[in-house]
Amino acid sequence: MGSKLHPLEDKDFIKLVRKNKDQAFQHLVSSYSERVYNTCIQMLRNREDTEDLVQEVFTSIYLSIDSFEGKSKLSTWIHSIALNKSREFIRNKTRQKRSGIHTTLERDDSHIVPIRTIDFYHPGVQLEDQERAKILFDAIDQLADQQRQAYLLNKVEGYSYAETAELLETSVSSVESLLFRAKKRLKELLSDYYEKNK
Amino acid sequence: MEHKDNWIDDVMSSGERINRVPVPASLMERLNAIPSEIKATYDRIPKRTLWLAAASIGLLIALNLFSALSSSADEKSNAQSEFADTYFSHSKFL
Repeated sequence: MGSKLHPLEDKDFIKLVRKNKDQAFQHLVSSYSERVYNTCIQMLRNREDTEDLVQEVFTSIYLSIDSFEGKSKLSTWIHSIALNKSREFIRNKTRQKRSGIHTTLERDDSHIVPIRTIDFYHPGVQLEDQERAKILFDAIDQLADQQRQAYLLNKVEGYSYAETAELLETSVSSVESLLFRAKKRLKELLSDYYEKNK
Repeated sequence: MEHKDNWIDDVMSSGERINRVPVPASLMERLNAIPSEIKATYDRIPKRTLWLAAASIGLLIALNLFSALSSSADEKSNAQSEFADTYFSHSKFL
């Protein structure tokens, strides 16, 4: 892995883009690749897909780097690209899988039984937590989009409430509310799973 | 009931025990190669093809503009002759 550079202030980054686009991009790769990689792996939980997605995210960043004007923070801009690309990737993947055999989605009136993915991979999950983490992520996938983002950023990636609010471009109180609803819904989903499987 | 609650808490806390993972070296190489790969893609398209595409687009725009201008001129002359016809037929009637 390349050595990490000290993160630039956003205005200095814009100056660097105008001066030397490739150097600015290398700076972004060095400073943000780990963050983007971890965000993407929480969303996909599959090594090959995550690597392809991260490459796609940074290609998109390179192609639109000139359009960054500093209206939002650089970290927020990168995160929103990563999120949009992840959503797009999942949508395409789901479309492909619907015609395949990898997942099953069963609906039971008000409750949705978590999707069971065959290829769960997360290098950050400890060995003894593999089964529990798989169930948890399957349940997280059932949350509403904003709730899922807030939960992953705060509870899994460890961002503070303020950082989560900034990345989601919302207020801290909205994040608190999203997390409250996410936890409530997760408990319902897990309870449902427990009743059916234990 | 207590067992179920403990199990739910245990599953939910497993998410908080996930470690941050470093980017694999092979992926870092792929990321650092993005600028050169994009430039190589642009270089692979022959300049002649780019000029032909630009010329075709320019021609299309010109044709569209020409057609739009001539149809608006036709409409204008039609409206004028319609007015003259109505006027003269009315005066003939009188």
